[in-house]
Amino acid sequence: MSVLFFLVRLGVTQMAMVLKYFGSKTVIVLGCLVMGLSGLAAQLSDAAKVEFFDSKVFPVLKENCFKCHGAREKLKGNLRLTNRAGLLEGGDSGAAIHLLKPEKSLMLTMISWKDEDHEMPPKEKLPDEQIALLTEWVKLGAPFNPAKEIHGNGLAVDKLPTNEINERTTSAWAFKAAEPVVAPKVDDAAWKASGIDAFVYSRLREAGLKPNSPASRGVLIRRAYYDLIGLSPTDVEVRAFIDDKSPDAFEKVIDRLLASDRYGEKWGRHWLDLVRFAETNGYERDSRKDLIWKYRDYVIRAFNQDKPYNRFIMEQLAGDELPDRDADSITATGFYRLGIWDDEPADRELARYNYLDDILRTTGETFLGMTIGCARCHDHKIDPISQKDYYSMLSFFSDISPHGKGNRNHVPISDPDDKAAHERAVTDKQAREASLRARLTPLEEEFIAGLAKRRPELKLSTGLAKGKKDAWVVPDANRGKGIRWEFTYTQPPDNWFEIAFDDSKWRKGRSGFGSPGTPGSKVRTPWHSSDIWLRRDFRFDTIPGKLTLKIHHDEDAEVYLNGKQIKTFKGFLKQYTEIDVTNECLDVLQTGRNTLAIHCKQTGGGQYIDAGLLVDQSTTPVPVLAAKYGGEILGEAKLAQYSKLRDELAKVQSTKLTLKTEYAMAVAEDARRKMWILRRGLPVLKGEEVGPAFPSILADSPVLVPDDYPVGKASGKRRVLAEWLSSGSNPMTARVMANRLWQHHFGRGIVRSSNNFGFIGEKPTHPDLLNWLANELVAGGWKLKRVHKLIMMSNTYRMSSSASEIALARDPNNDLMWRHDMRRLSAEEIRDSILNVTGQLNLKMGGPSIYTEVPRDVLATASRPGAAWGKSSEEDRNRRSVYIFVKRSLNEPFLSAFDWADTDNTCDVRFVTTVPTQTLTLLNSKFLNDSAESLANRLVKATPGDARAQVTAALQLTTNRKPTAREVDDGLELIQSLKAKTELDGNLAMQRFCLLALNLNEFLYLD
Amino acid sequence: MNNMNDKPRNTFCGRTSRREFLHQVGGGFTSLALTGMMARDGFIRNQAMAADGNTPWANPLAQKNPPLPAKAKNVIFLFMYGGPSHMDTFEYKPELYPLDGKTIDVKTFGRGGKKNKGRVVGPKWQFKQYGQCGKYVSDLFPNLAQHVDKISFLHSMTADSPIHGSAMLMMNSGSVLSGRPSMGSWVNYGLGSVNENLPGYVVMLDRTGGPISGAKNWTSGYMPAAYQGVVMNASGSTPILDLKNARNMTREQQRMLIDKLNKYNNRHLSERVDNSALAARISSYELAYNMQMSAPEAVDFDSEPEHVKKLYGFDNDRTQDFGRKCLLARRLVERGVRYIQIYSGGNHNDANWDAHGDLEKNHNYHAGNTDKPIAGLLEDLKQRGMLDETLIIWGGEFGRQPTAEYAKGTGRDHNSYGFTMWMAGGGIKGGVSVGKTDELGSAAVEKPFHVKHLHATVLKQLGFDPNELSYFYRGLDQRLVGVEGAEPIHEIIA
Repeated sequence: MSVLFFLVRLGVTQMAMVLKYFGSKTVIVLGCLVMGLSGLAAQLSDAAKVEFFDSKVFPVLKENCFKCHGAREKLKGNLRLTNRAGLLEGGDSGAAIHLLKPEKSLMLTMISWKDEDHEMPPKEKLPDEQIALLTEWVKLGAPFNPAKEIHGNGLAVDKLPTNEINERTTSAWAFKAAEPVVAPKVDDAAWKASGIDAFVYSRLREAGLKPNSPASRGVLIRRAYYDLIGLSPTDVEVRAFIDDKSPDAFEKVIDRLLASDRYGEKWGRHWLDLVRFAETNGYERDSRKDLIWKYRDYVIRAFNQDKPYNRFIMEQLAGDELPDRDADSITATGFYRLGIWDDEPADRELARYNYLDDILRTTGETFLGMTIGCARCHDHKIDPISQKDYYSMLSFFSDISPHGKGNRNHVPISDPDDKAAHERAVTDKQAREASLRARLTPLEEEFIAGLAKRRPELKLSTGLAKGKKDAWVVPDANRGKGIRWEFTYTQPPDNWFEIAFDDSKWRKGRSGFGSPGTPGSKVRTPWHSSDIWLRRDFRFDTIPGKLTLKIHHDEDAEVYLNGKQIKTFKGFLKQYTEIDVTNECLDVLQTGRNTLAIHCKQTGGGQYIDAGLLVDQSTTPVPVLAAKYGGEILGEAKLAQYSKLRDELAKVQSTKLTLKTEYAMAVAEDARRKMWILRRGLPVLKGEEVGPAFPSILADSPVLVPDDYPVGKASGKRRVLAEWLSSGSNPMTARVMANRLWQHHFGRGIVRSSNNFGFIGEKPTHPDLLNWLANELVAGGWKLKRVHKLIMMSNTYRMSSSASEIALARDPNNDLMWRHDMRRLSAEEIRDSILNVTGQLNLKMGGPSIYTEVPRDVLATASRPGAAWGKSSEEDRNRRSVYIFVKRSLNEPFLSAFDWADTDNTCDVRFVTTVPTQTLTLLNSKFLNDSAESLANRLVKATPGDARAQVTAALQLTTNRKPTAREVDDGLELIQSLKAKTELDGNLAMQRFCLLALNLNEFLYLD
Repeated sequence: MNNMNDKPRNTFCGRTSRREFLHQVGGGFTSLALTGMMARDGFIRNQAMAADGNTPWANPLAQKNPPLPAKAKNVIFLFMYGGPSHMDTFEYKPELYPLDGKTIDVKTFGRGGKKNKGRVVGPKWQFKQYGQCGKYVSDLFPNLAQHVDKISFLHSMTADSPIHGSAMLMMNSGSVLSGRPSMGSWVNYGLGSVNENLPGYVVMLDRTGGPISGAKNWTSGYMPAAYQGVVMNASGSTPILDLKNARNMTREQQRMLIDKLNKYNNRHLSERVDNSALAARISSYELAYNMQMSAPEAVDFDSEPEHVKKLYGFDNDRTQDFGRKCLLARRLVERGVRYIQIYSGGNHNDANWDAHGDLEKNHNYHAGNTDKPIAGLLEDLKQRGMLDETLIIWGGEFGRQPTAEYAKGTGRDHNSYGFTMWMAGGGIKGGVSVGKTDELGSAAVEKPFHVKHLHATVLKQLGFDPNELSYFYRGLDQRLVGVEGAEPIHEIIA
């Protein structure tokens, strides 16, 4: 593109000048030379040189040479400088560079303007430093970045650079728009029914290969169970399937498994790998992402509900911006909060971009199979993704609020229906209160007016008392020097809290009471015994409108006013607290003397008691006065009416309308932030400002956020992105997901690099099949269960894994899928299966994560060994692995031994390693030995005294097939020799055999 | 796996064999850490094959020769976690003493944020000259100081972060971002393991716990877990997790169990001979069985003479613990372990070199625990002729500020603008000091080096071009020294 652009700008004068220098045409193209040179090119293209070329040389060439020597149509002097071959082949004047004697290179002579007939660039000599640069480059052998090479017309499309938008990249299989694909015609009756089979079979036929025969039913059901639910079938289930002669026997198995809740636990975990799910932030404190387990439950639920994949995307990326948003969709946006986060970064602004970058990388690879993150510091070196594309995509996320600790990222997710009902109830309550008050007020006014007249000594002359709003009748210890209380450490008589109780024998001391150092305390009088009783008198001139108790207790306390117990407190506080006690006190308040009495009890640690009483004397407590003088002023009938209304009001007021707010860790936007292209990825080097846009290889229309998209503070941008991703208008989303479904059924994707569909990724082994499958996914309303079934019902899926000599020789990697590949169970499958086989597995679903038993040696690797890991009950410890707490700085040791997913980056394919430390885990860890014991106990209980039956059962449980007599004999022989030669008792010998059964290759591998 | 073997077909820049790698990944990459070993033992012939089906399998942990001549074969990284103060240890700052207590203008950036002035804390120890080179060393290291002629001091180290979490990741993996492989993993990946009965990359932790971020410091990041560090315990009864048989299983019983298991597994294998992963698993039981012998043997110091133990400080409660780790390191090097990292300090606060409060108390304690053992290690390696091939690295994730952190006390905050590390052995010059910080010690002013340069130096000594040793991940050739590359510190290379 740039070449054409320059060509247009090329001036006529320049053309003429160039023609002058290259008047005669000499063509030096020797076949052997070309070949030799291309070999050299490969050798010279090492990273450092390419880097040098990219950063230093390319800009100079592009700026000064490409105009004339890079045009596709016409080349000045027939010289092409846009690729290395062009330099070496040279133009009319000969080769531009001389590899053996670089200093003699024609190009260097020309740019140095030493020969006045050959001065390049013709208009103006290059600055000296650029000449030096090019000289150095030529001396290095003129290394060129193949990705930047531009070839002329004569060259095939497949030589065009892959990191620009051109004919080559727009027609690349991955970026090409979705088109209808028709399955090839196949002559074999068994292999033409399913589209999948037709594709696979025809490729095999082309290669002269035959597909394997079907796997046995025993193998097939085990494969199906693990693939869909991550657990093995029971003996009964295996037997039933083998005996089921109906044509839809396997279909029934698939339907049953897809309907099982275990399915979401297995497939949800595949998704959690992709989004790098973890429950801590990493770094120094590795602080917890509280409530993020709700995202995990959301994912499991989504798979179990067969939520359409496009909706699944919408919810995770924009669940808070959707018109039909609900608790689920908001929880889904926890997606944005899953990554690492440095709570104490050295460079805050850079850290902010790192956070967003992590989101973009994960989004790009997970949903699009594109390594967009590679274009952060410069244009992508391989794929047609520019730096501008990167920052345009990044600006979809720029308004996301910064991550934070604790509940900072918590968003309420209460059900909207509940919320509406709550709001209605609140309105009702207010209306009822208002109506009652309307009837009460005339009565109260009448009463107050009458009272003021009849009882002037109450100082109600104006009808309402005018006192201080906040007055301390009993100051707490923090006020002044505290106040004096009567107190005793010994058990007083039962009536100790009555007003009239004689406390003259009690001790006297200033508040507060306790042992120094108790948090939040102000100790003036020491108290070290277990109990203390306190009394304090005070006076009211008028009855106050409101009473507030201020108290600090360590530990249990009972508070009395005028003989009535008004409050009890359990446990201890670390500071004072204030409680409104007006309602509790109203019926016992009196003018004149009042008595506050407290009993406090403590069991250990610090201890403290103190209380204060704050009153509001600016209002009149009509009910209190009415209770005393109502009959006298209003008459009994009116008083009864008043009391009835009063009671009704109290009842209405006391109905508590609380909407329990549920929270989830989710996304929020807090401000509109601009985005720029950051040169070299550095926030200090801001370049052109950009707005949100999709990668230009996939879409060229600008992004507009419709007016009705913003929701609250959320801009609506992410909804636009999510809609584009899930609309099917980009071809990547469906392909990438169809490939993942294939991957987890066959152990590898049709594209093996399932997070990278770009030019550096793997090519699909069956591109048409992948497109066909992607179309099926979309056509089926993006429902995944349907595609699972489509895949599993094919002959391709049901093939055996056995080797064929011919096929192995021709296609050892099974690229053509002539057999089903064996696979080792995943970390979760191994652990869950062990629990399952031993009868310990607890299938409880959801909720906060659980903690397995982690060996002390592993805890010792944490910087706070004591606080590194939690503790769960045995029942909880036996739950499925997907519920184990995911801590970034301390991965669960059993899972990590078996190649668990890295939690810092999106993980599309897990490694499968075989190392001796795994073996140590399977032989010696507490978990395995506990499990062997449980298994032995289970077997002994089922068939007491029958060792043969026990051995048979152990083998059958672990391999899902009936063992041969020889296999059973081998087990019995081991038990016998352990007993005979090493004097092991029978139970322990059986445990050892069970340990063996849990170590079998056949247990850990699927055919 | 290893992209040092050029494979021109379908390669980017004619250099990497990423396509091969992707095959392995996408194919459910079975790393078969053992296949190479087994192939060597004739256990499986010609069955082991790369996932592309053409090339013979390269066991990721099989011993590999570095592409360039190597000066060092092993690395021992003595990690002074928490950040030792350079001006109180190895970088003599005479001008700083008289300024003690004075408030001066100086730019600092630490845990307490960015500041423009602060109260100077003069160095709390005296410096004396040692060795032929006349190197000034503080009184904190009277024993180590005897070896300055074997050491190259780097006084102008800089790092990207003055905060423990990210700085630890940077020193161990070259990036402040979590998720990258640690240096030991790179070495494991590049060189494999000489001794199949021991891990190739060993980490020893402080008694008080691991460093901040725990296992992230020895993770293999995006590489297979086969390359990650294995935690070894130099004084416990189980040197490696789950090494000991459980439930009183005797060696004899275990042998019987494994023999019988092999019988089952071989029967299973006989119908699946093309699957080398199954064979690898069978073999892994023998290796585990051997490791159960080898690892305790390495930790059994009984065969070491008393004078050697004394050299490492076994006779003193203070130095015994670190001494055991240093001696184990030497014994592991003798047994072919490539990369060993020993932590001085663990947990938080003063349990490591993070002297925010009382500098004297903190550094006296940690230096006192490690001075003798480290000197012993250098001495012992030298005597045995092993120092030439063993690269020793000493240092923390950053240094400390010349000024006090709080209004009172001698505590210094973190400093990543300038700090000291040193290297010895493995083709590193002796008696050399390179670079320096300003007269206060607040920032590197002469020849500043970044952590990347240190990493480049280590790789260079091990026989790699640090800018070539790469691993394809996420569309990029990732390197320990970063995609922009870094030069080794030539000034200290002999």
